[in-house]
Amino acid sequence: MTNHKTFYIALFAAALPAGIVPHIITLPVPPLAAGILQTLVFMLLIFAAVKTGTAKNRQTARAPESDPALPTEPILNSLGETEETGAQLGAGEQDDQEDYQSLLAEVSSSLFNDAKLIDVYHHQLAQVIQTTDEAADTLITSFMDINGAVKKLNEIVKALLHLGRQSEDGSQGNVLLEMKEVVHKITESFAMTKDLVARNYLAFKRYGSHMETIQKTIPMINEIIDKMKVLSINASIEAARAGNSGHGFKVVANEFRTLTDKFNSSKEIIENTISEASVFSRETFEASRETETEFLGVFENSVELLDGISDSISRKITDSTKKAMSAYELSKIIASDIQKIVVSIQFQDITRQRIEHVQTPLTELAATLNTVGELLHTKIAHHLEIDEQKLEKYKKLFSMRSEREIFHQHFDKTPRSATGNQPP
Amino acid sequence: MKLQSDNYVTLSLDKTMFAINVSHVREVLEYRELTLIPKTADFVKGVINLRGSVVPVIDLRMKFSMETKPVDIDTAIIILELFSENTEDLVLGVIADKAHEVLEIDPSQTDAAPRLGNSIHVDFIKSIARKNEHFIMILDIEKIFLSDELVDLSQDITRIKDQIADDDES
Repeated sequence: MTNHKTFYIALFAAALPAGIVPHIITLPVPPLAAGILQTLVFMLLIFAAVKTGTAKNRQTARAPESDPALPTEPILNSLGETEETGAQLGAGEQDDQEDYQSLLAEVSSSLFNDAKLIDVYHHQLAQVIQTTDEAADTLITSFMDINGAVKKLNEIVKALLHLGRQSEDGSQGNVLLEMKEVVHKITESFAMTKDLVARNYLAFKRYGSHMETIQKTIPMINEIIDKMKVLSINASIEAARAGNSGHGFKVVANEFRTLTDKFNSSKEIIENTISEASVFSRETFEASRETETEFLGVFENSVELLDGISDSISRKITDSTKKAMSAYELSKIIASDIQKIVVSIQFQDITRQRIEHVQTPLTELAATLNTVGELLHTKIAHHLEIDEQKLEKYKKLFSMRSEREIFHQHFDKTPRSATGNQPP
Repeated sequence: MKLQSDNYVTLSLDKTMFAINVSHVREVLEYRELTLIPKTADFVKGVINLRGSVVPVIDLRMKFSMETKPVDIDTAIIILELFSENTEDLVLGVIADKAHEVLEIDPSQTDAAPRLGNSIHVDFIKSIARKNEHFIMILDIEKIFLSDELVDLSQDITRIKDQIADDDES
C-alpha cells in the first residue's frame, strides 16, 4: 500500500509542470523524454479517476433501498436535495445527476402542460354544468307553466260546463253568448300551451347539445390520462434504473401514478354520469319532440274544431236549427284528440314523472269536454224539441190565425151586412 | 376491460425485446428481495409488499421456458394489472432483465406473430413490431396466464393475506 502511495506521488509529481515544484523531485531523464512521460502519466491519472468515479456511481445505484416507504416530499424539495448531494459526489455521478435532472425537468414541464390542459378542461366542464343547470331550470319552469296552463284550461271548461247547466234553466241567449266567449278562451289557452310545449322542446334540445359537448370532452380526458400514465411509467423506469440516485424520479413517478389513479377514478365517475345523462337527455329529447309534433297536430285540429264550435254556437244564437248538432260532434272529436295527447304523454316514460301534473288535468279536460258535448247534445235536443213544439204552436197559431182571418173576413162581411141596418 | 392504447413498455429477456401495453402496466420497480412462499406454481418467485399490498412476482423467463439468469443492476419488476372475468382484477409483478422505456407503436407497424421458428409459445405473442431495426414482440398478457393459473394466484394471495392478518392478531 505504502509502495503504491509512493509510486502515485512520484507519478503525480512527475505529471506536474517541472517549473512549479522543481525542488520536490528530480528525475534523471532528458527533458523531451520527461515531457512525454509526464503527459502519459497525466492521461493515466485522469482515466483512473474517471473509472473510480463510475464504479462508485454504479455501487450507489445498486445499493438496496433501506426505507421501503417512498418519500412524499414535494418534487421541488427533492430536486433541491439532489442538487445538494450532487455537490458531494464524484464527477461521473454528477454527470448522471445532471442527466436525471434534465429528464426530471422535461417530465415536470410535461406535467405543467398537462396541468394547463386539466385547467382548461375544468373551466369548460364548469361552464357546461352551469348552462346545463340553467337548461334544467328552464325545463322545470316550462313544465310548471304547462301545468298551470292546463289547470286554467280545466277551469275554463268547468265554467263552460256550468254555463251549459245554466242554459238548461233558460235565458239561452245570454248563456250561449257566454259559451262562445268561453270557447274563445279555450282556444287561447290551447295556443299558450302550444307555445309552452315548443319552449319545452327547445329547452330539451339545448340540454341535449350541452350533453353532447360534455361527451366530446371525454376523449380529451382520456388523452390526458394516457399521457400522464406514460410519463408516470417512464419516470418509474428511470427511477428503477437509477437506484438511489433516481430519488427525484421516484417522487415524480409516485406522484404521477397517484395523480393518474385519482384522475382516472374521477373520469370514470364523470363518464358514467355523462353516459346516463346523455341517454336520459336523448330519450327525453325524442319524447319531447314527439309530444311537440303530436301536440302541434292536435292543436291545429282542435283550434279548427273549436272555431267550428264557436261558429256553430254563433249560428245557434241566430238560428236554432239542427246545424248546432255539429257542435256536439266536434266537441266529441276534440275530446278524442285530447285523449290522444294524454295517451301520447303516457307513452313518454322519461317525461312521465314531470308530465304527471299535466296528464291528470288533460284527462279531466277530455272527460269534461265529453260531458260538455253530451250536455250540448241534450241541450240542442231540448232546443230542437222546443223548436218543434214551437213550430207546432206556430202551426197551430198559424192555423188559428188563418182560421181567424177567414173568420174575420167572413165575420167582417157577415155581421156588417147583418147588423148594419144599412140599405143594400 | 380497458381500452388498449398505442403505448407500450419495452423490456428485455436475454437479447429479445418484448413490449407490454401500458394499459396493463402500473409501474416499474427496481428489483428488491422477494418473500418466498411455499405451495405455489414454479413460475411464482415470491411476493413483495407494495405499499401494504401483497403482490405476487412472476418469473417471465420460467414462464417462457428460458434459462434462469442471476439478478443484476438492470433487473426490474414490472407491476401489471390483469382484468379477468373469472377472478377479481389481479395485480402482479413480472421480472424483466431490463425495463427500457415507453414506446409508441402504431398498429400499422406491427405484423402477426409467425407460427414457426419462435422459441416462445406463439399464443403469448400478440404481434411483432419493428422499431429502429429491432424486432419487438408485443406480449398478449391476458393469454400468458391461463385462467386456472390466475384463479390459483388469486387464492394464494388471499391465503397470504389471511396469514398476515392472523400473524398481526397474534
